Amino acid sequence: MVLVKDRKLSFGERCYVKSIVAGLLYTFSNLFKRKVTRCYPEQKLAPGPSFHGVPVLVKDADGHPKCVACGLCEYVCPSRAIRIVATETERPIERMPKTFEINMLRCIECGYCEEACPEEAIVMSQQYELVASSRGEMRWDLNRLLTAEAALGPRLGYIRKTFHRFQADPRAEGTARAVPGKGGTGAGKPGASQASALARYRDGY
Amino acid sequence: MAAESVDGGFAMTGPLAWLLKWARKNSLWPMPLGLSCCAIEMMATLGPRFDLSRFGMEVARFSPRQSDVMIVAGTVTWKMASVVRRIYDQMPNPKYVVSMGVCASSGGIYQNYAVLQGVDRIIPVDVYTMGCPPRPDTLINALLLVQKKIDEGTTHAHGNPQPAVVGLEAAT
Ligand code: SF4
Ligand code: SF4
Ligand code: SF4
Repeated sequence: MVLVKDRKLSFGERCYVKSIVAGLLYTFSNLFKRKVTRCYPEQKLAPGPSFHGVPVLVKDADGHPKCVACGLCEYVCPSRAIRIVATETERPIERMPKTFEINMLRCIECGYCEEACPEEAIVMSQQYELVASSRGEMRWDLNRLLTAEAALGPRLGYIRKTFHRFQADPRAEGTARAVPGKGGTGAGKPGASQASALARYRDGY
Repeated sequence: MAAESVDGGFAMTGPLAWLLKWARKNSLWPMPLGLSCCAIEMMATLGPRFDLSRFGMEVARFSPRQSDVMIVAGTVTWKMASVVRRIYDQMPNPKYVVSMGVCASSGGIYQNYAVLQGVDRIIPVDVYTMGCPPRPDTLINALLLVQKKIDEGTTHAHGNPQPAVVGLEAAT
């Protein structure tokens, strides 16, 4: 057990003048430091390709959705934000969504839908500032979700790098990515942890 | 321009009503109702990086009697619901509500027995925001929309009936 005895404060300490002056000096010293405020409506954030905004659907060159209405995103969505009604189409993909609705007031921008999609048809956009006066406005239908592929270019490049990095045969020399932090960049043999990760991945982990 | 004020009994018109509206719009004191993780982003909004005081909203104190806009930031559980309603009732008129984050707006990821599926079940909400959590930018955007609605006189405090809530049961 430790007995703590109160130290007797001197007169200067008891009237707090020193502390008040020190506090005020600190406040005033900040007037001359670098300004950190980002004035939001005028200076907006410029998100990078790894940013998760709301998910949108990719529109191909003919203006059709790339989506084949497989329903994987609907199934994987943790907040059940997606509703799809499928229909058939004459195009080679044979199936397409008749209605596709994402409730942006349910979506948590987790990106699972994007990760699950086999067609790169749903990707995370860079829209992060949606507000609305009613819940109905935040249920986006197919028309509102469709976004030109060109506008989503950086994100598509990013997910190709991220999600499909295991597609190349890792055993082939030179195709595997270097393990970060294991020294050396560029092509090389996969590290032990990466090799086991690849094995798990191939086994359907 | 005959703009009616929202004070019960008094119909103010002309410059006085304009002045009142201008004053209210630019001194929205928030009632920060931080219920879970969204509250962290709300605190970030109040901090120097985003600096809510630029809009006259820096007075975020936990005293409903002195506040104008309630920011419901977080998951509203059934257990908390009555408390949320009581805090709302304690706020003086005119009062506005921002539902911050998907949990408060619709229940979000929590579609279960314990969570209220949208705080608009118990109080009228003026602005809904996306995001889990919304960025501070989004919250500022929401508060700017509140200002715009005060300007236009379309908030619930202006006597506008609450819009039919889109599919409380059917809400996806
Ligand atoms: S980002 Fe997540 S929550 Fe949003 S629609 Fe996709 S899977 Fe659902
Ligand atoms: S996972 Fe992709 S292809 Fe399948 S329904 Fe969703 S968006 Fe369409
Ligand atoms: S919306 Fe997301 S961040 Fe906000 S309270 Fe719900 S779970 Fe937490």
